[in-house]
Order: sequence, then C-alpha cells, then structure tokens
Amino acid sequence: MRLLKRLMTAIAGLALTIFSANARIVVDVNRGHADPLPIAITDLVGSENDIVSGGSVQDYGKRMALVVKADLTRSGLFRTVDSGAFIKSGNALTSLRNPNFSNWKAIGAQALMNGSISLQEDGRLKVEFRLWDVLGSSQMTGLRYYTSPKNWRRIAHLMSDAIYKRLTGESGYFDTRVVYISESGPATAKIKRLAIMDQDGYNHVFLTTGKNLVLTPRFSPTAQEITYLSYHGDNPRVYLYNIDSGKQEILGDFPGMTFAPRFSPDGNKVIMSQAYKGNSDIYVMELRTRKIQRLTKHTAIDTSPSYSPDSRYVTFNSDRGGSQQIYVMDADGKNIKRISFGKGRYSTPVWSPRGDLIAFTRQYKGKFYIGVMKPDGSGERLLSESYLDEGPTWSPNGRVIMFFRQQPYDRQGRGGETQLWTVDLTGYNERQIITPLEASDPAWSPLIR
Amino acid sequence: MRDAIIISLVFHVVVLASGMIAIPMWRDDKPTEMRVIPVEMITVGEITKLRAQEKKPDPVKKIADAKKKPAQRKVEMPPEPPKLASTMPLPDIKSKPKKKIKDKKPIKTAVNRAPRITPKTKPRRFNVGKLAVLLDKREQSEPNIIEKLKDRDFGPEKQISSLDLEQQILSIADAIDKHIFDNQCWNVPAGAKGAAGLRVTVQVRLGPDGELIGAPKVVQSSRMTMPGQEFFRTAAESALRAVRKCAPYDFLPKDKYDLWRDMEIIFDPEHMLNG
Repeated sequence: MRLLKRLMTAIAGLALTIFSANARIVVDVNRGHADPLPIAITDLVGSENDIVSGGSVQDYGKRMALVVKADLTRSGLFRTVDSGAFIKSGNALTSLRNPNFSNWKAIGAQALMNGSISLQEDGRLKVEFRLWDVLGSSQMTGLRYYTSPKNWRRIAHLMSDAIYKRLTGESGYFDTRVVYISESGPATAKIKRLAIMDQDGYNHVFLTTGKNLVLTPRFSPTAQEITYLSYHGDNPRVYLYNIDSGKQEILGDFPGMTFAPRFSPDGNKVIMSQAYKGNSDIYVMELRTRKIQRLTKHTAIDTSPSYSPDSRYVTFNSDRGGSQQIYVMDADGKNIKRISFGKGRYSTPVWSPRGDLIAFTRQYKGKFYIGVMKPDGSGERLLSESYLDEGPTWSPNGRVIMFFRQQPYDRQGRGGETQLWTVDLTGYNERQIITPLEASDPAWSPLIR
Repeated sequence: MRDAIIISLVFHVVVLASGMIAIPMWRDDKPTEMRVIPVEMITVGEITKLRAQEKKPDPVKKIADAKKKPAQRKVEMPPEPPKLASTMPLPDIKSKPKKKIKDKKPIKTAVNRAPRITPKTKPRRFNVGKLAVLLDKREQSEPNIIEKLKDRDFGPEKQISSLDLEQQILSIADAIDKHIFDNQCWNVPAGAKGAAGLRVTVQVRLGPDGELIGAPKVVQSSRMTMPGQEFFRTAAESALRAVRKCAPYDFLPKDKYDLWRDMEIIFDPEHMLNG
C-alpha cells in the first residue's frame, strides 16, 4: 500500500511536470500606438583643438548630430529628445562605450546614438557611432566611416540611414538626392532650369542654364543618371544626363511630341508616351539598341507610364473609358485593366519601389490630391489635399512621397508659387522642402552607392 | 512476481494518466472548450474595470454553481482550496450577484460586450488541461504539495470549476493588455511590409513585486537574426521595449502570483498596420 502511495505521488508529480511547460497566462495585445520613437542623439565627441577647414573637429561633431536629428525627425518616425534634458555623468569618452542607461531611461529615451569624431593624419575625418537600445541596455549597431571633411553631410545622412534601418527594419532614404525643375520669373515667361540637391534641400546645384525649357526629369533607379525632356525650338528631345560625369546625350528625336520619359527598374529602358497626329500612346525604348516598341494602340490619350519594380507590369493613365483613369497592363502591352474607379480624374500613376502601392494625382471638385492605391485598385488613400498638388515621386524605400504644390492665384493674378513637399504614407507628416527658387516636378534618386 | 505486477501497474497507470490528462492539452486549438464564453465575458469585463476595488469573497463560484456546470468541467484540486478559489475583486458582482443573473440575459449581455471581449477570449484557448497546468504552478510555489497529496490519501477535496480559474486568467490578461495600452508602452513598428507575419510572442517572468525577472524572451528569437527578417526583428524589439517600458506590473493581485508569474504576451500589429 505504501509503495502504491509513492507510485501515485510520483505519477502526480510527473503529470504536473508535463504541464509545467505550458503554465502561462497568454495576453493578446493588438492595440498599440503609432507615436514617434524617442531617441537621444548626442553630439559626436571630438577635439576642439583639431582644426579643419570650416571649423574644429568638435564643431563638425555637433553639426553632424544636428543633421542626423533633422533627418530622423523629418521622417516622422522618431522624436529626438531635447539635448537640454540630457543628464551628464562621468567622462564623455568612456560613456561612449558604457552609457548610463538608467539616466537615458529617466529622460524617456528608448534609443541612444553616441559617437566620436577625430582627425586622421592624412587629413580625413574618422567618424564612429553606436546605436543603443536603452530599455534593453544593449548595443544595436555600430559603424565607422573615414571621409574628407567636405563630405561631412553625406556621412551624417549615412548614419541616419543606418539608424533608420536598424530601428524600422526598412532601408533609409536620407543619402539621396532630388532633381527638380527650378522656376523663376513671371508666370507668362518662366525660366525653367534643371536643379539637383540633397533630399533635405542642401548642396543645391543648377544643372542647366535655363536657356531651353526643361520638363519631367526622372532618375535612373540604378545609376546617378537623369532622363529629361528639353525643347529645341518646337522639338522636344529626350536627354540623358550623367550627374557624376556631367555628360549629356540626346536619347533620340522622336516623331511628334514625346512626354513623360521614365526609366525601367533595371535602368536599361525608357518608357514614355508619344503624341503623333493627335493620338498619344505608350512606347518603350531599349537604351542600348535604341530600338522602340509600341505598347498601346488606342484612339484615346495614353500617357504617364511607370514600370512595376519587377518590370512585369506598367501602370499608365488613359481616358479610354471616358474620363482620365489609371490602368495597369503587362509589360508587353497586353491585359490592360482599369484600376481606378473613384469620382474625378486620376493621373500620373507612379509605382512604389516597394511594389505594394501606386501613387497618383486625383482631381475632384476643384481640388487636387496625392494618394496611393494597391496595384489592383483597392485600398485607395488620399494623403494630401490642396489647390494643386501634382507630380508624385517615391523615396527609394517606398515610404515617403515628394510632390509639388502650387498656391492659388488671387484676383490680381498674384500667387501661384510652386514648392516641393513631402508626405509619408500615414498622411500626417507633410513637410515643405525649402528651395532657393520656386520648384516643380521633383524626382527622387535611389540611394547613392 | 510481485515486482512485475507493480511495474506493470505503474506503466498502465502512467499511460492512462497521460492519456486522460495530456490528450486534451494536445487538442488546444479545438474550439469545443469555448462553450463557457458567454458567462466569462460578463465577469471579465467587470473585473477589469474594477480591479482596483476592495477584495471580497467570491460570488462567481456561486454563479457558476447556479449554472450547474457539467461534471467533466470539475477537477480534483489539491488542498487549501480557499486560496485557489476565485477571489478576484468583484465588488460589483458581489453586491447583487444573483440579481444580475436574473436581470440580465447572459446571452444578450455577451452580445453587447462581444466586440471587446470575443477576440481576446478565443486565442487564449483555455481548456481543462491548462487548469491542471495552473495547479502545477501552485505546486511549484509550495514545494511541499506532493507531501500533502501523499498524506491525504487523495481523499475528496473541495472542487473548483474551470470557469473560476479561467475568469481569473482572463481578468489578469485583460488587465495587462489594458496596462500596456493605457501607458502607451507598445509603439507599433510603422510601415512594415507583411504585417501578417509580424506577430511576436514574448515570454515574461515576473517577481512577486511585478518586476521583470531576467530578460523577456522572444519566441522564435532565432528569426530575429535571419537575413531578410528585418521587419520581424523590428517588431520583436518593439514588443520587448513595450514589456520593459511597462514594468513593473505591480497592479496584479499578489495572492494570484502563481497565475501570473510566468506568462506569454503576444503582440500582433496586424490590425494596426492594416486597419
């Protein structure tokens, strides 16, 4: 009997052990918040006695931290903690590798970036930074760069990209440039010049003189190369412009009017629309062979073509259904399907580099909107609204859209200024990009390699 | 010969016991155990709202008894049943428990509260097997339980319904969910692609004071370091941040420490990202 008791006890113990592995309350959390992540960005620690052109190494460290702060804040996904709240403790250099996490936690920071900058014997700057998980008390990433002092902004953007990628999981977009049409002069005789700048508006350069009208610049997705349209007399020509070399070449003279040239995702083709004898259709040109293939043949106006990132499909704009709407077809011109069915007119469809959305301009009841929809036409969301919003272009990570906005004219004919704006996919983070003159028709570059 | 009989007996009992106890656990996902949901919903909602109120004797058991639950939903309990019986603070129900049952048609009430409670209830997949698990938790906190079991010759003990424990579990889970939301601890990873695959389960161990013991662990943590799984890693890190930011969980009922010492918190951003 005693043996039996022991056995039963052992069995009970066994049963309890079997279940112990699953002995947990399970909490389902599916409600969260979409607030910016609080991150502390400290100045890069550097010597004030080492002087390079433009200031001390310490000054460069401060400036770079400011650029990183501005990049991350502008993305809308981060909130930088006010440096006035930073709690100073211990030696600045030793705390680079051993941050006092409780101090950073106390001021609400959930991530921390710190780092150092120093001058090398060869005149280059050595910049290194670390990103820390404050709540987890661990390092998330750490990188080191060597660069000429004149590239300091670019290094700061690369740091922003690294932080953005580590904390969001997707590639950044800060080390990029934007090409656009700079406009000046009266509305009736505007001088339009091709201009390029960093995505935050700095390092601005005019690429053309303004002698000839330029339109629709577009970046190659694979190289620092631009295609754009320029008029010589009455003849529009499609040009290729290499930013690094400054070399410019004519892609070809086309019969009739050519509009909206845009690169294919591999950079080997240019897709565009051509108007010939009053009818506009979609054509594609192989850049290597200059061979042209016609994709649509319809009496309606087909224009603004854009490839999907896998090159399998093309979205374009057509009034073949009676009003201007967005269509998607196979890359060979077959299986044309209409995807926009809302009220008003849809135009300038642009496929996201991520492939999941198509950005467009919608005109309805006297207002313009920039919106996005899925490639099958579902899930339409309008992100911006104004008197005139036009010309969406995607950041290379497919998270932000840049476009241009025109102010309304008043009764005296004043107004009508155009500026560049960005909006992210939430639609809540709309920001103007400051340019020296008026600006329109932006095109966002891929990440600079 | 006698040893052979004993060994044979032992193996038979082990096999039978495993079959009786473990098989229901393996059928975790089957929805048949959800028949008790309407009653649970009423109780859980009120418990969650009133969790800070004074602790009073448990009326829920009376309600449960009044409903005459089927015999298979009652489980043999180890000693000290009063500790195990539901003592969650339920003053509102306590005040007029029976009247409530009469006044409100349970099904109707359940429907009214369904939008909030139903999705939370289903994934918990509670079953009789988990009840036994919870008993095991108690055993771990009181190491002499096996001795007690042995001394009492497994005599008839006071029974506790699975419903009572499930109510306690749901109430605690609901309170934790509410705590995480109210304190804005979970910042959903923004803009991630493929939200459907970003469900993250975090295993948490708490001390009696509600502080985290050790680092919270992500189930499938190996996925965090795989190339191409950056969005999962981001989601997992946001979940870990949420768990850490919301600590301590000192609002949980101290006398139910056995229930919430170990738990799993599932962070699912799908509704947020697609909604």
